[in-house]
Amino acid sequence: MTSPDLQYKVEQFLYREVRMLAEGRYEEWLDLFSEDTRYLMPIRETTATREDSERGEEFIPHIDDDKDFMRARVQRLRHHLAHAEHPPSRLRYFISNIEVDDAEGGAAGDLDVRCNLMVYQSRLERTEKTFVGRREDRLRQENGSYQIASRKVVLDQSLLPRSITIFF
Amino acid sequence: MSDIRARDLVRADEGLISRRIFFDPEIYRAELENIFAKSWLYLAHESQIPNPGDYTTNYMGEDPVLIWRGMDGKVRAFLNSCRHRGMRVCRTDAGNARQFACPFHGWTYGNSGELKTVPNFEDGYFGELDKEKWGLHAVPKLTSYGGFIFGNWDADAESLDDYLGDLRWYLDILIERSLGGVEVIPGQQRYSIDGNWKIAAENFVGDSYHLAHSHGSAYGLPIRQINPTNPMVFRDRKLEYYDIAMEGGHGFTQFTLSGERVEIDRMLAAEMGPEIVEYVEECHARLEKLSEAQAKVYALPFGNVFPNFSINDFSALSPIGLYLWTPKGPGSLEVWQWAATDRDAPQVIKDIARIDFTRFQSTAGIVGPDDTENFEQVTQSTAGVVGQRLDFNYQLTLERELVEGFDDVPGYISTYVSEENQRLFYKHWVKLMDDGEGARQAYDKPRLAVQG
Repeated sequence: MTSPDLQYKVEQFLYREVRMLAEGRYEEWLDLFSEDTRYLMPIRETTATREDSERGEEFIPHIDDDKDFMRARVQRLRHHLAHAEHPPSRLRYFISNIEVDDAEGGAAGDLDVRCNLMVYQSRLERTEKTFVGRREDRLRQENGSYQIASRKVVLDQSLLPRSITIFF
Repeated sequence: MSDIRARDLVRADEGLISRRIFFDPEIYRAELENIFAKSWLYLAHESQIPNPGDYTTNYMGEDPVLIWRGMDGKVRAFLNSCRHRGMRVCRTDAGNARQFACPFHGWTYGNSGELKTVPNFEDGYFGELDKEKWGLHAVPKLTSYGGFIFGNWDADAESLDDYLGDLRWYLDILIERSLGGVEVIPGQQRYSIDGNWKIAAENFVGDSYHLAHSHGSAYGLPIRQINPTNPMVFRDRKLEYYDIAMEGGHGFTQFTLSGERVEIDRMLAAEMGPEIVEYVEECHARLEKLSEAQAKVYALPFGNVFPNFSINDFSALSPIGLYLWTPKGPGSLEVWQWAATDRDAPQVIKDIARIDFTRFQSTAGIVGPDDTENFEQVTQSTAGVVGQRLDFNYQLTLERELVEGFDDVPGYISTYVSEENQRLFYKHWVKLMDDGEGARQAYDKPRLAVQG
């Protein structure tokens, strides 16, 4: 069982992290990720069995980034011609069901953190989209706080409500 | 269309197209009938369903279809709807099945589409239901071109070869260049756009004009460091590009005709090592066997097969992108997209392709989402009655003569950038909408020509 102190610490880390996203503080957000991080979003498909629905490595994903490409995404969003987010969407992030465990096969102090995620995107006048799924993070101890050593975002939608212009 | 004639709304020779065609529900309804129920539509690639029983699903217009390889090895496509009460027979995206039992009343169909069993056949239908007549409704015309499976709801439609026409010369480049054949990476990305399907299709058919402004944020990135095989890194090189339109409404853009794209691949390959150099040379040699002109063209690079199937193919070192703009109402479409590579490409090229696809013209890429913003706001700005009285402007390079001097290259070659491909796309659209059947000649009058 995770201690209440650890649970609290991780929860506060995650709440502050998603607020950076809601507020568009992307450079600050990038700093939370380790240099060797992987930011992955697999596709979902409707399959006969529950296990097959989250498609694995042999399938095309939606996103499979390293830190360099995450930086490039942020750099692009800052460009005045990135019309998809200029003017910016209004975003609200909800995370819940936060589970904290010792990392399987990780170094001492590494954590596996799962949470549910809902992101509401309101854009211009009538565009309203909601992305729902879960996140699986590997957190690494770093100077009394954490670094995200990998993140997998598994949305529940097989047909996404819109193309993706935001982070999860 | 009752009182609307498409030719009154589209004056392609003047470069004027009414905004109405992007929003009007009556026009949309007529498109489903006159275009989507009569054109050859892309369904799937054979590499997605290699074994007997393998299936995948798609849409033809708004009709759901099941593409299924029978135990006899033959690929067929069916309306994905039970003949009894219409329930969706296959509700998964892809897999392998010997048969599907309809969830509603249990009518069961085999993978040749045949109706196998019907509950209460003896005591309810008294053994008299003609099972031969009540198999799944088959797509009457289905043909594979180099592994790309197309279907047509019109049993009297011209052959796929005739439909593709001059485009075959270009598709052959993609198909022949691919060592071991084209292979689709499993899975598909899907997302919705609140926009009209045509604004997406015409974007690929020839709109290179939008690249600098719509995608200006992507061009500034350190792509060279991030992805060394992406040909975007050569944007600063002055390449001689051309747009090429073909009869039948097909169009591709950003062609080079003098071997520039293979030279770029050779430069990139040299940096990547001997295995990649050999691979590029082998791809090129295969094209030289086709023809000298095709070897010089080397890659497509991006365009649209009428009406709604788009392709990205910039290089042997980057992924082949396959995109379907599936109509879901006058103001709504779904994007279904796949990435493909050569079956026998070096593993490093396959690995790069998988990642590269996700980063550019893709759900979350640095290119696709800016297109979404355009497609949605273009469509929604046509909703008002005043907006619908206006025309869109397609006058870029209007009246400019076609390029000549490339006698071995089929189609109508325009200088880059132009809107000639779009004008021809809509000319073909008009013919299908008004005549109810395709007329091949897009050019009614002889064109002046200049030397390329």
